[in-house]
Amino acid sequence: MNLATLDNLAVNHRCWLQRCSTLAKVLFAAAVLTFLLTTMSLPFIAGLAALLLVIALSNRLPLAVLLPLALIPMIFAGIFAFSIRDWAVGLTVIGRAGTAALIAAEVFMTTVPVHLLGVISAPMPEIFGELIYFTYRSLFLLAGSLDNTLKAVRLRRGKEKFSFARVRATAQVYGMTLVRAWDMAGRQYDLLRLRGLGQGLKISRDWHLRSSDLILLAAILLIGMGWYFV
Amino acid sequence: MSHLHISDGVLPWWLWVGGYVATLAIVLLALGRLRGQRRLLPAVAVMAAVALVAMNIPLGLPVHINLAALAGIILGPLNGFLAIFIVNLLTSLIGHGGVTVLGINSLLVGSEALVAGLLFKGLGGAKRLLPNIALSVLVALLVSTLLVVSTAGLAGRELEDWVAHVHGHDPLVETGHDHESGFLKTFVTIIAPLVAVWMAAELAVSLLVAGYVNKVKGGWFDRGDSV
Repeated sequence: MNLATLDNLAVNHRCWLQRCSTLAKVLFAAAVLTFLLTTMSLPFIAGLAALLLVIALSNRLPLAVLLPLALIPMIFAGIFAFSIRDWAVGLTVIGRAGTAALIAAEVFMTTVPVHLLGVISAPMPEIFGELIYFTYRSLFLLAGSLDNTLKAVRLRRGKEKFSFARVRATAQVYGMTLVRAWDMAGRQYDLLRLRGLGQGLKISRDWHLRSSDLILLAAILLIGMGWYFV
Repeated sequence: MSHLHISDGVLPWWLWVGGYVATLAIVLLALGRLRGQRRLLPAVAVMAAVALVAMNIPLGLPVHINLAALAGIILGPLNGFLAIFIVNLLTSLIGHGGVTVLGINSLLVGSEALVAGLLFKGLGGAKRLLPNIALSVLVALLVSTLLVVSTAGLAGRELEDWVAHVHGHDPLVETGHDHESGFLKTFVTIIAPLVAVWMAAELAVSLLVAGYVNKVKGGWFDRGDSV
């Protein structure tokens, strides 16, 4: 999971899904999940996954980034699938997990995160929007600092297998990250107070639909027909 | 158990809807309290960010750490839960843990923050720092694991009904033994080694981090819930 790569794609990757409105993509994802979770048809799930892959390819989304994101939930669902000891239900459970992860990742990879988080946080109190925005912002500041620290640790310790010394060194990196994060929190708070935190700072949200959203509407209709007939 | 990010399509609808209702109730309560203590807002945000980046640090083991129990100890139970909810929300957006099961996943992992935060405070906080942290984290991890197994048990019952529906018969009548316990036994057998490794790693790292932070910033854990 490399959030920096995903964030870079979400902001800079030019494709037709990127041109669709955030609201339309969220509604499309909700519709896909609804159809997916109300079916037991393995052919429908396979068809839906294929359609989502076609959407990914037509948007030139890198499969090397996208597919591992779908694979991880399939492994977790695989534990449930294996425990049930029925291949038909097991495959359906794994298929649902992978397809749901595909749609979530596709929306994330083609939507500017601030817009996506803005729509998602809309039903919650205003303070939640601020909190989620701060977290996302802090994430990249910390990740940069952490990368440098881990590089320094690797240069000092070299490549090594699992050992208690390694766990101890890693824990010290966690501790250092925590202390740095805490100092950063204080500075961020002062900075954001100057920029209007707690004094009417608003999260901007775009609720407008665009003509490019029609293709998502067509896709929903197509998936709906598949759900009904397959 | 933090490392079983339950995926979409595994749990029955009433379970994940219930999970959302319970989680949102706790999150709204925490946000209400946070509104009155705005200075804590960046602290909750950076703790969530630390938990997220901590997931990416390789340990040389097939598990990762999430520091949920430590978040509860540092921020207090409610703010710790809030931080973990944000972590789960962001990971669910990239498919790591389902969107529909965000509520139940947050309850499972957030329970570590709730239990550890409450227990640490109840045990007297930083008076006996490392023993109190060890006990709080251990109990929190056990509670979380128990919740995961219970959730899996409920999911197993639903999946058994699904199997019966697909094959058009009642599996209990067909084979004469309890399939649900069979599901649970297999499930526990698969996850038990991972849980053992994860618990040891999470406990060890939490203690080592607390020891390190206490050494670098003496008295840091004395600040209690208002950190």
